[in-house]
Amino acid sequence: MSVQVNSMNRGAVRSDLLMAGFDDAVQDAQKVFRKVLKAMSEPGTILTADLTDKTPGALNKSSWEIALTLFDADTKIWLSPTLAGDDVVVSNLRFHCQCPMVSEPAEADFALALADELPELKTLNWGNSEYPDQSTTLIVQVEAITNQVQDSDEGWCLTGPGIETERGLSAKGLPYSFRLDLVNSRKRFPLGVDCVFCADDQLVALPRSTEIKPSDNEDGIRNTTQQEAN
Amino acid sequence: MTMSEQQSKSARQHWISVLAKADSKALQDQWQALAIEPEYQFIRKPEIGLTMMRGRVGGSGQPFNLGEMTLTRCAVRLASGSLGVSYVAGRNKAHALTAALADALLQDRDYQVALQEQLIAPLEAQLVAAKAEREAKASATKVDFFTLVRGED
Amino acid sequence: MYVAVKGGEKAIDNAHALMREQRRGDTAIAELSVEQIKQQLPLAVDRVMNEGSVYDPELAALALKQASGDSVEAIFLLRAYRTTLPRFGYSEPVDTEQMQIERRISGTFKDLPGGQVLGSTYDYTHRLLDFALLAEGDSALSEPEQASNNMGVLQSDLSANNVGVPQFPSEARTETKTSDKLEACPRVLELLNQEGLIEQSRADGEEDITPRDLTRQPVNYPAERAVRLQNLIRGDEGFLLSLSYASMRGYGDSHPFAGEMRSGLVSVELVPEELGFPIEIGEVMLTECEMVNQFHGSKDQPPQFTRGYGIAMGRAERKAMSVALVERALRAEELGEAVNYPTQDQEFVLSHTDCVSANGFVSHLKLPHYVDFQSELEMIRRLRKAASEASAQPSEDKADTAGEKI
Repeated sequence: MSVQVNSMNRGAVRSDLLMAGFDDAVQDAQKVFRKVLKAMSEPGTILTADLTDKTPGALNKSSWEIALTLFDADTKIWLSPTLAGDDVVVSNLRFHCQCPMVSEPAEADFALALADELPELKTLNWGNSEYPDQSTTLIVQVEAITNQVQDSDEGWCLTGPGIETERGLSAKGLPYSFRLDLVNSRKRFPLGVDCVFCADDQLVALPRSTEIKPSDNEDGIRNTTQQEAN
Repeated sequence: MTMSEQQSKSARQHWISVLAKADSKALQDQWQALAIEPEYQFIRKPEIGLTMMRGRVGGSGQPFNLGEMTLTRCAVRLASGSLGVSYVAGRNKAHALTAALADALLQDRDYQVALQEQLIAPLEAQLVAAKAEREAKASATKVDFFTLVRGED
Repeated sequence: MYVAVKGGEKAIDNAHALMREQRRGDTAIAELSVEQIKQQLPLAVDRVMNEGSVYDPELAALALKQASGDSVEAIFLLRAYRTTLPRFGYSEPVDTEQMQIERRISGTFKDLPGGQVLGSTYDYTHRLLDFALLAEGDSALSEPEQASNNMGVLQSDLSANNVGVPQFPSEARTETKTSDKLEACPRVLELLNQEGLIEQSRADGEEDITPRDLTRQPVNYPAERAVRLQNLIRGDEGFLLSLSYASMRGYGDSHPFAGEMRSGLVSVELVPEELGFPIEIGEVMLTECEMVNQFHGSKDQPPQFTRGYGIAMGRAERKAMSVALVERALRAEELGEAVNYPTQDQEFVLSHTDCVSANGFVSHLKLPHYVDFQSELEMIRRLRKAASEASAQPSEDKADTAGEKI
């Protein structure tokens, strides 16, 4: 018997935990890909991904569908501790995507995390000046996402490519430190991390090209125009 | 891994191999003759894709990527809960579905003996016969060049 | 000044219709089926699979039919199709030692364990056109090729009586061993390895390194051996054949021995995530070639033979040999040999092996370059005008300035 070289994450997938993925793998993945593309090109625009009935473990619909669409044998995946410890999640991701799992966020092409288990932003791969595209894409499951930011102390005002003037966005449950790091990460553009926030069947993207300003007075950065945006 | 797990693994490897390599038409004929129609749910509908075939430099050295090949895979779950999977070279979805169903049923003790006898054994016999025929043809082209010193083998 | 061209849709539609008509040929002649191409032009199919880099004889046959038999066009079609398919991971490395031998020969040892198995080959044919094949559909009536080798061992006297066994001249059968079984065929070069006369294909205890995949990451120079090999295997057969010819004729320090050539079916295994153990998914026909080259030794190593390795999909001996020759030539640098010739230059060889890239770049010249050309035209006119004005002017230092004007 030949020696195995594909042994990145051996250990059995639990076949009793496997559930169906997309009903139509090709068409459904194309639909979700189109959503992610639109979300990335129009940052802050909330889209719905609702093609599956059941999701494995703690994954919500939109993050599960993004995984089915974007993860494959050539993408290294980092999962936040709760997800990584859940056989249902790991088995189904490995079965449907064949994605190798990594234990260091810096090695990951995609990091999939719960909002309260986010890795420090600096521990992810920000790409390099030759290949800024080789950075980690961070997918975060949050409680809720909304474009209504008036009464939120977690609101952002987004500007930049794909946004005509500005757009409000609030992703509930992100730690303060992460929000601060994300704002500061823009200084290193074109290096950085592209984010997708997933709440139930909704998703919204925040690529590194989008400028973020807190919509309240948090951190002393005052945004004066956000009120008109909504 | 216990001894029996090891045995059942290699038994499963064996039938998966026969199901994958069997001639598509022969597989369908044998399967239909069995007239089994199990209830099942798709975990993965038959899907055509590629796998990158690897080789080893010099046959035994470092691995390298040789080129891709088409294959079709499928996964089904029976009402009993057992999961059947198939990975079959080529692009025949019906073949992949039948192989996955057979794999699921073969894990079920109630079906195992019958399927081994009526599906796997005849298909394997065909594979063995085809291999023997190829070998005989090749063997007929084996040459002894004239040589002065050669021991009898 | 020309402007960019628009339109031509109708003309293009008609051109495609004409192409389809010419591809079909005379409709009084039965249409060729994909299955016929697969069965009866298998070597053309193998070439398309190799350079298309997808093992699927039916798709390669379809591509050949669609491309009117133009292999480069067919390869392009297959490459285009493969981009539409998802990748289900990587197989385990195939074990060619376990190949079901169909053909196996060695140019280095006359007698070797397992013997020399000629298999199906054109090698001993006389290259005389077989007009019997013109006899439509009745190949059984055709006279078989006069089989022969340089020792005159094989004869054939297929008479009109044994029409039913066209594949096997009865004489040949009795001349060879009567057994229907082949003995085990260990690798020929391992015989040399046992004496330590040839480099090992891997050091003892060396761990597997996951090879980079050039369909996923572009080639960087210098490229590792695995990447070079992947590139060569999908490279243009004609280009590689010519390069290997050049390297043997003196443009490269390579005149090796064919240590072993083998063709046959090899089992392919992969390890599905849900199983965690390897399963067989099918068998593929492969041709493998190992070349033995001289090596004069270095400070660290005593003189020994080195290897060049080639492998190809299907029955593709010329390709496997060419890959092995060029593969060895490209090892010059890592073996501390002088790099004097293009055949030893990775960037020269590997950047130009791909027939789809090469064809694309050459073909792009057919695209409108009207504006580019117009500007060149203007320039030439201007230069000529300036030159003729200068020559019309009588000048004492004309000879010195003529060069500068141009």
